[in-house]
Amino acid sequence: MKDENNALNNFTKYDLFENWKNLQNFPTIGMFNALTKDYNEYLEDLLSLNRIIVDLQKNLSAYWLQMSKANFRAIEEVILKSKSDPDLKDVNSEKFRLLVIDAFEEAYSSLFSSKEFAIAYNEVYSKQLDIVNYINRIVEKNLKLLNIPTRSELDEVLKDLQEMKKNLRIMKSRYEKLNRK
Amino acid sequence: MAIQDKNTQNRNLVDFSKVAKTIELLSRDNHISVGDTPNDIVCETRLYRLLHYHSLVKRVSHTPILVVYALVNRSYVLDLQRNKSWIRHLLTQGFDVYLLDWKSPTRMDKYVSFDDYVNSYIDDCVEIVQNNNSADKITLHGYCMGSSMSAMYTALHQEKIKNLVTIAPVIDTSKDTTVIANISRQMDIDKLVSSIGNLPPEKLYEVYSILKPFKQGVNKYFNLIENIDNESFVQNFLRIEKWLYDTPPIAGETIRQWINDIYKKNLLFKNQLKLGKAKVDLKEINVPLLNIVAEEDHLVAPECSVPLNEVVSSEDRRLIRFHTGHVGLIASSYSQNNVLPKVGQWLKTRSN
Repeated sequence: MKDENNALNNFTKYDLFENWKNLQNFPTIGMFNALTKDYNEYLEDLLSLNRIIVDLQKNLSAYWLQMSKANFRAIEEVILKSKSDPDLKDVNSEKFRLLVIDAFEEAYSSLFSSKEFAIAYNEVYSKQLDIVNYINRIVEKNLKLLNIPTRSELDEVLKDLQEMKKNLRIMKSRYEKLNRK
Repeated sequence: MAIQDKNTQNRNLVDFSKVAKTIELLSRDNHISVGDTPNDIVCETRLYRLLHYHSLVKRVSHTPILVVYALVNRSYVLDLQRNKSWIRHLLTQGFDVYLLDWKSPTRMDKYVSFDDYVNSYIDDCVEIVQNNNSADKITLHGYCMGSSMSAMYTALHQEKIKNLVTIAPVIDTSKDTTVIANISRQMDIDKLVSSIGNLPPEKLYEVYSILKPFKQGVNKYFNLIENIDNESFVQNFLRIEKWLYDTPPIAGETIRQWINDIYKKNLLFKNQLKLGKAKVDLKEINVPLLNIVAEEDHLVAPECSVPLNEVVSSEDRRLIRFHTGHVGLIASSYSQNNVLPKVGQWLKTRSN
């Protein structure tokens, strides 16, 4: 015998899932929905982070290749010059030290002055900054969840403050000029 | 020559007792005294201090000098030690000297720009110096980046300036062949500023380390080992070393403009640099100009500094080249004996 006043009677298997889904989608209590959404974003961030680390590794290899080539050039110069000059046979002499310093200075200075080095050096640094940016993004997401001001929000405040200080100074200076008159 | 070569050859590369002394010296916390010339702090804010030096002799000049230091490293290089002090030498020549000493910007100062440095901070200091000395005009005297800022200021506020003295200014960056210019041209400074805010000192040390990596970076330690028993040499070494590794960060917006507008687009030389709403036109400068450059400067190539004399409208303009380096120009015996007497002479005839 069915009790018509019992609400549970209407709770079919299908309704159970439907209601649970509705519950999940409430913006304030839909924690599973929020968690799943964030999980995907975190996963994407981590994948991107890995991609950047691989790129950084590539850039670092290009950078160290240039450094190694300069090193070899310097060593080659030292060997050639010390072979041709008997005074340079003693590796403990000051003359030999000066030869080594000159050879390495020449090789590395020409490397550091080249456009190729500047590109490689800045690419390495740029990728390191990408890593910092991704970590910042993850931190910002957490700060938002905790309802704490994020770095980019504070940046906006700092920008406004600087602008206000500037305007205040201009107003003060105008006021002083008027008073002097 | 042959005898000298033989002597050189016979000298041992390593004297282990000296190496041990050097290691001991470098590993202890050395007290290094710098910036000892007596002064008063006339004004202090979060980002700068204005120092006024006590007179050492009777003043012979009526026009006060405001020295504007760079935003990299610290201003005490101009008063490093008694016998190599730029400031002290000017005082002993009878000038009234003020120094604009920049403090470290914090993360709060990310948006401080050249507009603030030039049109607010330098301008405030110029007004303080004018009022203190009851002077209508003053001599503005910059070093390195401080020279570029002094030139910007003079172009915009010429009515307050009597003379402009620049040392190694960064002007025409298209002619700068230094490693710094090479690295700057490829740098993604927008990404750096948006990611970390201010330019950290570590980044500057990294760039310094590749300027003259072996002749200065490595060889200086060999020289220290050789001269470890020479007290005066050791003290000089420690002072310069302290200064080299003592640099504040550079405010984000300022370094963004320095790299993008000045190094990459060369806007200062092209007279298209904007500070706030004002355009800096170096052609506007018509006050007497003394521009000093170092032939062996590896931080600012002389070819980059010299064009200041070509671009200004001043009828009274002089360029002096010295056979020394960037720091040698201001903090060396050479500078005391060769550079400062000429600067003083030039200023004396234009400061009354």
